[in-house]
Amino acid sequence: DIDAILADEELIPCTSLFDFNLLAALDPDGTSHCPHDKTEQRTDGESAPNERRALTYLPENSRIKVPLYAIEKWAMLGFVRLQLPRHFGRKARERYEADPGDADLRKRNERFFLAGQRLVNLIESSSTVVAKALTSMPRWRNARRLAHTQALKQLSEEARDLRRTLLKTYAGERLRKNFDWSQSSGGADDDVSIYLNKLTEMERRLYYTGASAVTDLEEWKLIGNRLLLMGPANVNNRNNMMTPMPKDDRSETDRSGNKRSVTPGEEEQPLGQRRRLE
Amino acid sequence: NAEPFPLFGTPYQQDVGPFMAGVDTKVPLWLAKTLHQRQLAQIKLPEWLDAAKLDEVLQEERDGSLLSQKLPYYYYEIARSLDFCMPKASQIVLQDLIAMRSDKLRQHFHALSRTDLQEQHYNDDEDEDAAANELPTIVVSGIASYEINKVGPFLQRAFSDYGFLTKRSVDGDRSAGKKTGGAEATDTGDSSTADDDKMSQESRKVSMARSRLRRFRS
Repeated sequence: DIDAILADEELIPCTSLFDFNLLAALDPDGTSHCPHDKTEQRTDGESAPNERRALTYLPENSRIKVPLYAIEKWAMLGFVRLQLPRHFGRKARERYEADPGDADLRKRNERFFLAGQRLVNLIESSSTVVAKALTSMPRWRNARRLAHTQALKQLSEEARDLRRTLLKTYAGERLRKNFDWSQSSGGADDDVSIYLNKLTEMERRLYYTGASAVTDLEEWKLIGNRLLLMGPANVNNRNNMMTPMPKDDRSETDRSGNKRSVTPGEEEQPLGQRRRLE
Repeated sequence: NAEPFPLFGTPYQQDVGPFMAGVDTKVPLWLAKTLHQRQLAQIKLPEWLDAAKLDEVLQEERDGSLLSQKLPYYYYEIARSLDFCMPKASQIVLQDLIAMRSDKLRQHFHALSRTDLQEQHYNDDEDEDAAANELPTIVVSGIASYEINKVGPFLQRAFSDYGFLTKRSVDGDRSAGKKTGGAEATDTGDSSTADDDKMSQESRKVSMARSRLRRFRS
């Protein structure tokens, strides 16, 4: 499913819960993994490997942004603490709930609903799993465990709110507008790009489904059912009343496609069945 | 002594008739149109296509909140086929009827969107089974083929997407590209123990990974 693959590219901000070696590239703006004081003090050649290790070192509590597909495993293992991206955050959610019809969701993410749904599912799954694992932590790490549990609880609540907002935004004014636009679209000639530019991929597909149904119906109203075309086997059949044979055409094609002449006796047979009923 | 006659003049076609001149006979629509085209018969319109009857149905549509069930399922297709012999009054009333019914469906859908579709998620914390059983519905008794073809594809897809957004993830069942529509009712009875096992396996993995990391750090 190409939509799911593209939705998984959503960048998720997260905080590392451990030190990670060789992953400093994940945080290109971070300075903690490149301690300038330590490098200045070293003067001998033996410091070079330490310096290199420091440069590739991603410390705990680093804030990084990783695509959803890449962070999934780490989230399930509890290596990182997830956060919601800005356009899924509390302020954004309040804006969507206040005026869902005019929100330009496509600008945030073309697959806004799909990405949001996958993120919510990931947060819910990972929170459950990690919370269970935290119960097995040793007692002397109670403070850390409590802090982590509190953060997970807060994140789960945010995820639940996000799920509600996604549903409310999709099923509310936007859906009604989509229905009205698709049912009243005049066909391919109408320019609806002003409306479509604000829709996510899911909503666009829904619009096209509705609009094409209406267009097909209008086409059927004008043209009706298609005429049944005869196959080559019936071309010779002069008694077939569906296609009247032209009187001047004295030749017709046989099954092999060769023309043959018509005998006078055959011409006298009436094409229509205009008999008097007795 | 009238006898059935082959309509298409070939031995392969079924014979039709016999018909008596001046005697009303019920025949399929396609045969009636064919005989009419060949000026062999006159079509008598069905009762429900009478302007007065259609007016009654229109009034019923105006007064009631649900769709009228007095029209046949293929009322539009039949009316369109017999358009050439329908009086103008009937055609006008039929057009009004079609517009009224379409608008009614639109209003029902709007009402559903304003209420049920948005309230559904408030039940997700407490009684999930009850929420799953009470799916949002529109009453469309009396709907005809015309309306189904017009709004059916949109509604089908909309409900499918809605079901997707209300569906909760199952642990270990989030493979990339998996998108299922409709509110799938999970069998909580049999799979609860399997889910518990999966959860305990996952949590064991998590705690083992974390302890390994701690040891590495120290």
